[in-house]
Amino acid sequence: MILALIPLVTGTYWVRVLTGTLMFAVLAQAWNLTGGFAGYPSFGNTAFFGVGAYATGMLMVAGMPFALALPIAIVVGVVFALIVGLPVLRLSGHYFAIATFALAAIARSVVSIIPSRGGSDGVTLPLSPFSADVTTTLFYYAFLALALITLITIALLQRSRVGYALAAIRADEQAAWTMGINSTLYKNIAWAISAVVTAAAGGLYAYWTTFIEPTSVFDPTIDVKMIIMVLLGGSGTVLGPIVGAFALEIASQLIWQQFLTLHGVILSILIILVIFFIPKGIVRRTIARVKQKAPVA
Amino acid sequence: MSLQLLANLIYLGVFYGALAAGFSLIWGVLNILNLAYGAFIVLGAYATYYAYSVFHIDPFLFVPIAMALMFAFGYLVHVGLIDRLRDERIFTILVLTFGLQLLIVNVANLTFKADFRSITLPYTGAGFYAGGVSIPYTWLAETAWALAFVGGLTLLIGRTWLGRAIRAVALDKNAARMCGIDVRRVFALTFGIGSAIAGGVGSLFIVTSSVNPESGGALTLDAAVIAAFGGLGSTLAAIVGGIALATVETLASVFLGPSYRSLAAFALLIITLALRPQGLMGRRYFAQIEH
Repeated sequence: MILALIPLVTGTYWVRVLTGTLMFAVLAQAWNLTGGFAGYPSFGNTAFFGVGAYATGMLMVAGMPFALALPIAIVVGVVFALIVGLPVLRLSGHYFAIATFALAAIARSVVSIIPSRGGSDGVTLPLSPFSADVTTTLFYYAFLALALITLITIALLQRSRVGYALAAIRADEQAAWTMGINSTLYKNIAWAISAVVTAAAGGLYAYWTTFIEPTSVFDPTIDVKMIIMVLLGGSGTVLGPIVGAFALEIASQLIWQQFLTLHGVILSILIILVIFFIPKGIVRRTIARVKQKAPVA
Repeated sequence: MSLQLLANLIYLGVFYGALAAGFSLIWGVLNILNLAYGAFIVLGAYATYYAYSVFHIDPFLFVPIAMALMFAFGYLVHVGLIDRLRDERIFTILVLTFGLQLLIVNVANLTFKADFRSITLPYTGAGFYAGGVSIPYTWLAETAWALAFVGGLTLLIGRTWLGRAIRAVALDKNAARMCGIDVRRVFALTFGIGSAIAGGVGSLFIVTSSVNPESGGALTLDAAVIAAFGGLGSTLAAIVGGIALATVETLASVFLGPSYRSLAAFALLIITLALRPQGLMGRRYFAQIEH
C-alpha cells in the first residue's frame, strides 16, 4: 500500500509541475476526509487554504521566520474552521455544499475589502534565502513530506474509531446517533484535520509563490479540482485522492501542451466522461479488477 | 427611502425572483442544483443577441423563442446526460452539472469570443416620469415578462395536470410512480421548464447588462442564494427571496459601498442556512428525493 515515490531529479519544469501535483494531492486528501469518508461534500476548502496562505503571508511580512509562521497559520486555520464549523456542520447535503461555498466566497470578499491586508493588491512575501534551484527542490520535498504525513494520518485514521464513526455517519447519520456515535464530535474532528492540512498547504503555497492575492488563493477552481481529483481517484479511499491528483494534473499538463485553445473544452468533456465511466474512482475499479482476476481463495 | 429606490428594488426583486424560479423548480422537484443554470441563461442571452443583431428581432419579442430553445436544450441535457447517471450521489451530480457549465463556458468562449455583449435598443434610454420616479421602458417590459414567467409557472404548477404530476413527483417519487405517473418524463419536462425560464431570463438580461461567457457563474450563485433564502416549493418563495436579496444588496451597496454587495448576499445566505435552513417559505418534503 505504500507507494514509493521516487524523488525525481529531472528538469525544473517537471519538478514544479509535480510540486503542484503534490499540493493538490494534499488538498484532495483533506477534502476526502470530510467529503469522502464522512459524506459531507465541502465546496469551501479554499477558505482554509486562503486563511493559511494569508496568515503565513502576513506573519512573514511582519518579520516572522517561516518556520514559526507556518505553525501559527495552521492554528489560525483550525480555529477558524472550528468556529465556522459550528453553524455549517449542522447542515447536510446540498445545503452544506452551498453553505461551504458561501463560506469561501465570504472569506474572499472579506480579504479583498479590508485594506490593511493589502486588499486586492495582494501580499508579497519575502523570498527564500536559498538560490532558485535549491528553493524549487526544497519545496518539492516539503510538499512531498506534507503529502506523506497526510497519507499516513488518513490511513491510520481510517482504521481507527474515528474512521469507523465517519463511515457510519456517511451511511446514515441518524442511525449512527442511535448507536451512540456523537456525530458532531467526529464531524468536527474530520473538519479540523481537513483544515489543518489545507491551511498548511496554503501556507507552503504562499511561501512558494511569494505572491498571493484574494482571487488566486480563494479561487473556487481549486475547490473543484480537489473534488474532481477525489472523484476520479475514488472518494472514501485512502489512495484515491493521490491517484486522482496525479492523473488529473498530468493529463491536464499534457492536454495543455498539445491543445492550447481546446484545452478547456477537452478538460470539461473529460470530467463528464469520468463521471459516467468511472464513478467509483480509479482505485476501486482497479481493486475490483484485481479481485476478479485472482483465483477464488 | 426615496421612491426611486423603492422602484429599483421592486424591479430588481421581481427580476431576481424570475431568475431563481427556474433554479428553484429544478432543485425542489429533482433535488439537483443545476450548476449550469447560469450558463443556460447566458445561452439564452446569446441567442437573443444574435436574433437582434442579425435578424433585428426585438429581444422582448424573442423571449418565447429563447424559452422554447432552452426548453429543448434542457430537456435534451436531462435525457442525454443527467438521466443516464446511474450513480446518484449528490456530489456526482453536482460535478456533472459543473462539468457541463465548464463545457458550455469553454465552447462559448471559442465560438463567441470573450467580449462582453449587450443590446442597446433604440428606446433603451427612454422612459417616463411618474411621481418623481423615472421608469425606463425596458424596465416595464422586463418586469412584465418576469411576472409572466413566475405567474405562468404558478398557473402551470397549480392548475394543470402536468403541474399536479410535478408536485406529486416532488413530494414522493415512488408513490407518484405507483399512481401511473412517468417519473422520468416528469423529471425531464421539469428540467426543461426550468431551463426555459433561464432562457427567458437571459433574453431580458442582455438588454440591461452586458454578458460574456463567464457571466453564468455569478448568475447561478445568485439563483442558488435566492432559492435557498426564499425556500423551495412555491414560486412566491422565489419572488420573496428575490426581493430579499435585492434589498440586502441595495442596502449594502448604499450604506457600506458597492464592494460589499456580494459579501452581504453571502452573509444573508449563511445566516439563513444557520437559522432556518429550509428558507423563509420553504415547504417540507421538497428536495427530499434521496440521491
